[in-house]
Amino acid sequence: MDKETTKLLVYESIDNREAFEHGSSLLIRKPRSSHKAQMLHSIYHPTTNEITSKKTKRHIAEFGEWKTLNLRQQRRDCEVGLNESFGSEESRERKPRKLQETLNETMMNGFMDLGSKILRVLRSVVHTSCVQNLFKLLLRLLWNLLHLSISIWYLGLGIALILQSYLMSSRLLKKNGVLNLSNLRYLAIVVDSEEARHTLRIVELLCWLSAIGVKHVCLYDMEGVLKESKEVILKELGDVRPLEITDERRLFLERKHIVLEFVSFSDGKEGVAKAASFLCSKYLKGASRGGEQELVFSEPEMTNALRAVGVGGPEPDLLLVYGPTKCHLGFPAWRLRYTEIIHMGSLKSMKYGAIVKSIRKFTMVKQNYGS
Amino acid sequence: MVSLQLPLSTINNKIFSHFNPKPASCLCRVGNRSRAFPCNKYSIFRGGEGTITTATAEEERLLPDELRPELMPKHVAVIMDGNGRWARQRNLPTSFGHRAGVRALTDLIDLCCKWGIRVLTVFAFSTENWLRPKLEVDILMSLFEMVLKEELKILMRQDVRISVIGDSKKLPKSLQKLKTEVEDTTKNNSGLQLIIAISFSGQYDIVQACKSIVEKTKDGVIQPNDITEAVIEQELETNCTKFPHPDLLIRTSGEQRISNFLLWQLAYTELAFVKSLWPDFGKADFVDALCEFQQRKRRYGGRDS
Repeated sequence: MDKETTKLLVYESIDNREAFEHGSSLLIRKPRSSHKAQMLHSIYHPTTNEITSKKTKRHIAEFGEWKTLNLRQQRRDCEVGLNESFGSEESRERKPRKLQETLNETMMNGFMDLGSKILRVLRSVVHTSCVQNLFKLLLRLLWNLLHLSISIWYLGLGIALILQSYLMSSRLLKKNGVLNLSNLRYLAIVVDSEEARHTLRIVELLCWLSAIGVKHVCLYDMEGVLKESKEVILKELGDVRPLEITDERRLFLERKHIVLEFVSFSDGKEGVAKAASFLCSKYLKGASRGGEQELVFSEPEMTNALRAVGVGGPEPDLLLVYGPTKCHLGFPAWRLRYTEIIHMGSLKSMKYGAIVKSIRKFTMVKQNYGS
Repeated sequence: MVSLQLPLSTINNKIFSHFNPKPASCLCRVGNRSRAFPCNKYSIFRGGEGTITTATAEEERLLPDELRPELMPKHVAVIMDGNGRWARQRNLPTSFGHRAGVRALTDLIDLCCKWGIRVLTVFAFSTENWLRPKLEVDILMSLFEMVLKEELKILMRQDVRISVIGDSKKLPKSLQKLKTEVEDTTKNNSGLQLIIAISFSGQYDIVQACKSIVEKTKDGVIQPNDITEAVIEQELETNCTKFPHPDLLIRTSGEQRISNFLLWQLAYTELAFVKSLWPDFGKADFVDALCEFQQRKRRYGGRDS
């Protein structure tokens, strides 16, 4: 047997994949002498050029497997071929065509196996990406289901609230009985100035409050729109009268008519400034009259000063805010110490049931007043 | 986070906020708390060719996705209510509730530093709280002293400036001295300004402002007819900050009233009433309150105060 061919055969037992990847140039010296040995070499260690020249990328992917699976068979065939070809010199010339056919057949088999292997790998790759897409779709479906369930929950909640409000309005829901308004001595309503221009809605609101049994109401809006429509409101309501300052002491005795107070921003911070000015004048007068007077300043004095300048008023127990924002929009700050503040939403969407609910909630609140 | 724009006001935070369990043990861990995150407003990073860039971009990345950095409030006020109830629910003494409240406060300060809020005002003790049992009041005063002493180093590192407002005449002498010391030490810090309201009430604030105006009138500095809102504003105790009006007020424990806190300054403040008790107030509740505030700002813009 040719020495170099023997080398080839010995090499097969070593790492075949490596041989395939590197065999063309590095791992084994390519025999030069024998043409047949070179052909065999190219079968076992095809170069990259040979691979690409086969016009298929699949050869690259399946190199190792092709080699592993078919190597033994090829080896046997080649050994047979080699033995046949190198067995006797006389038969060499007699059977070149047979060897050629054997080699071609082997190559064809090899390539077909390689092809099938590559197809199998591609199918598995496609399958994996299918699984991934499916997984993503499933996640998306779950997410949308979650959104849907939350939307349904909110829808149900909304329907329940509307139903409750309707039932309260039609006085069908009487399970809670009559509201205990002993704690609610003074109710204040803050309205956004834009919404305050809808005088009829304000009148409707006051009718509801009157029906519930609230007797003392303070209406506030920042720009004084309600003050301007005071006459209209009083006329529409009929059995109502505005709050007079002197009434304050008798305020909680009067029960027949609903008492209204109209307040705007000028009664808030500006009112405090006026009260401060009043106090300054008072102390200056006192100082000029009776020498040095000790400055005794306390909260009751401030309350009296506010009353003196015409911006005094009782502290509301409950403040309902009708407007887009959850803030009291400058309601006289001095009077808001312990007032419960409830945001009712827009005046457009005001509901009788919501007012009853807020007042009921207020009656259940327990205040410690800091202690 | 799932965000749904539905016009229903009763959203219970308990259902949709992240579960944030606080441990049953409420020992104050102030001394052992380590803050790995430096809260300097501007950190220096080496830029491309040796240029210095500020870390505001990094701060923006720290914000939760649902918050927009340009709509963050400048001044947040907090009424820390619910310590006593929290302790009673767990059959613990009230002092444990207050200590747990301190931890919640320090967490909030960390978040405010991270998220670029400029001023944080906290209502620690009201003038009405003097009516509480003497033992509880003494415990609270000693707690304030302990917290101020122990937190000072950490707050200095975070560049926090501390101001204490309220009627300091009623405070113990040691606390008065500590208050002055802390204010002097931190007066040059330029990060978050922490305003602690101790022995404070909104009416007291207005009264002392008017009193100082009367004194000025007596000295001839100002005439009685020249007294306006702006003059009163300057005399209020919140004149120690550039942003005296809170953009957002948060009150915990579900109570919906101001309880004599910052009455003058809250005219246009968004009021957020949170159901959870103060020791349980965490990042999730804070983010919810900030989201509500940002939704209002997005819809109606800020009002000029």
